[in-house]
Amino acid sequence: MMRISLSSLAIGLAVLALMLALPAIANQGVVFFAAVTYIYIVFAFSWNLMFGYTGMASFGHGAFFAIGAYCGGVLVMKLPELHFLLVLLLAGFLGLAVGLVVGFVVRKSSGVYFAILTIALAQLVFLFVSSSSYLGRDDGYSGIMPPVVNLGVGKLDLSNGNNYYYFILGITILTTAALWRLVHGPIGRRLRSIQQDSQRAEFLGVNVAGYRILSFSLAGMVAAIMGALYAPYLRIATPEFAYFVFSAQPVLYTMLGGMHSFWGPAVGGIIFGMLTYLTRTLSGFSEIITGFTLLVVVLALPTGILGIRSLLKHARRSGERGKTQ
Amino acid sequence: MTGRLLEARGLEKSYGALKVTKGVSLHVDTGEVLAVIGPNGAGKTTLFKVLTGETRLDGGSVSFKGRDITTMSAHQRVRLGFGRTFQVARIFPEMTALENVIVAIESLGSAGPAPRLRLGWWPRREVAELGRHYLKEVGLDGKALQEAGFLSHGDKKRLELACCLALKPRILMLDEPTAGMSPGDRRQAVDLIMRIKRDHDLSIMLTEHDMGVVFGMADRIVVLNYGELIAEGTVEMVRANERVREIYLGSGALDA
Repeated sequence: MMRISLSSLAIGLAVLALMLALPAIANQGVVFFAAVTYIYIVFAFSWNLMFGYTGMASFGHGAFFAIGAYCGGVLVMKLPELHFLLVLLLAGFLGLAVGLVVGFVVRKSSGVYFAILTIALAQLVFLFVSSSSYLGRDDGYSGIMPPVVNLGVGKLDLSNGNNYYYFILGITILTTAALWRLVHGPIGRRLRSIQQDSQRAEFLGVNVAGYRILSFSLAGMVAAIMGALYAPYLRIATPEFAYFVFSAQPVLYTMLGGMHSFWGPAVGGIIFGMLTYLTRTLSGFSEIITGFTLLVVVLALPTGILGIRSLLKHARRSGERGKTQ
Repeated sequence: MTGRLLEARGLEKSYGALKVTKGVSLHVDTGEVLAVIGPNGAGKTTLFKVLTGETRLDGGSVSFKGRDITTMSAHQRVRLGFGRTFQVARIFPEMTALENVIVAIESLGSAGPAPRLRLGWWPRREVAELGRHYLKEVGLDGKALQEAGFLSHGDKKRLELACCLALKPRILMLDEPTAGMSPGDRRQAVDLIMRIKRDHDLSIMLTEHDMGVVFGMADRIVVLNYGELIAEGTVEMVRANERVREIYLGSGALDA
């Protein structure tokens, strides 16, 4: 069925080479910005697992990012001897558990109802972390030190040089590979069938409610892992992660890049990131330019930038059909 | 092979204050084709919905192969042997025809259990081959890799049938299988359904507006009017029934 084409392999290797070489060719600011963008992109991938693949539009996905960030931050500070990979995993499991419970509650809600329930979840998390004095209230949980990771062959101190950058690169690539494999296998096919026609899927024996819960909680797990990866890098976990502006970010990435393509959020994230970086000194203008770009893309290309490919494919096909008829 | 395959007793369903199904009882025997007819608004589609598990019943019970399935969800009924098609063919438009069938095969696991650890993401060869086999059976073998949304109306109906077959059903629930087709296509569709029924030893329950199709396919007919079952019997019995003639009076439908 689906094989990887040579051209996409070439693009992938080129991007990988650029990401590996980045600290050698760019300044610290760019490197920091790139690492943050990688995390945001995988966060957006996890959102698109729900939206693009399962047809569930969540506007409170930041809740899971926040849960992971606080969980990771607290574990790193209170249990410094705990292996950082285990911290990420624990944060992920917490996200998964919350996702299972909430997913079970909202499994039958769709469309606007689902969206509102997810906003409510994010608000709940926001209120909880911003009113807990243990978690630093409105100021956030600060002073998180990047941990030292024991890799078996040696110790990697994440506060040194570009170590954290490479660590983030490694984790985000691994997570992306896992997600890619998931959506391109039988489970992904089932999720896509739900997105395209949930009733038909149910009548082909797909447990629609069950797979909705699965999609929601796996997305929550990945988002939580990203949060736990992010907090020690930023050295702070703030209630902002659960704020709706933060939850809107993966939505924007996906709209910009294309929701029906796995790589859509990555393309959107890179463009979004570059726009933000290039306009960072133009105070006030930054938002205008980003907003304008988004407006143009959504109006001109409702399926996003990567959606151009399938539009071209369809145009070619209907052209062929016109010829034969 | 005979015996009760599907049995419904005292089905009650209302939408708010509106009673749509009023104590309907019916059954489908193994190997039988049962047609449900009745004027628009008689409750045929609602009957289909409660039998297939799409909506919950307010009263009454449904059993299948002797098992009570009244509270079972739709996908569980599918696994027991329900195949369902819709008035307007419903397929996954952004998948290829083959992928559509593969979703059904994988959900049932009918190509045998998958190996525990598999790095490849494309469907296993057995799954793809089985999918092509079902497509061939409905005459879509040349269109396996076409995106389903681009198939013609008739081909979408065929694809829906192929997906149902992949579920290895015992009974096909067909909601107006020839709706929106030209007379020539209708005959082809009926032939195809009857051939599949023979080859797979299936029972069928269908609703249909076209009396030619009904009389051509059905072993037995039940007639619904305002949510009540008003007649039941063989084609001849129903055609001769006074009350049925009254409902269809002047339409000439029964003389088809």
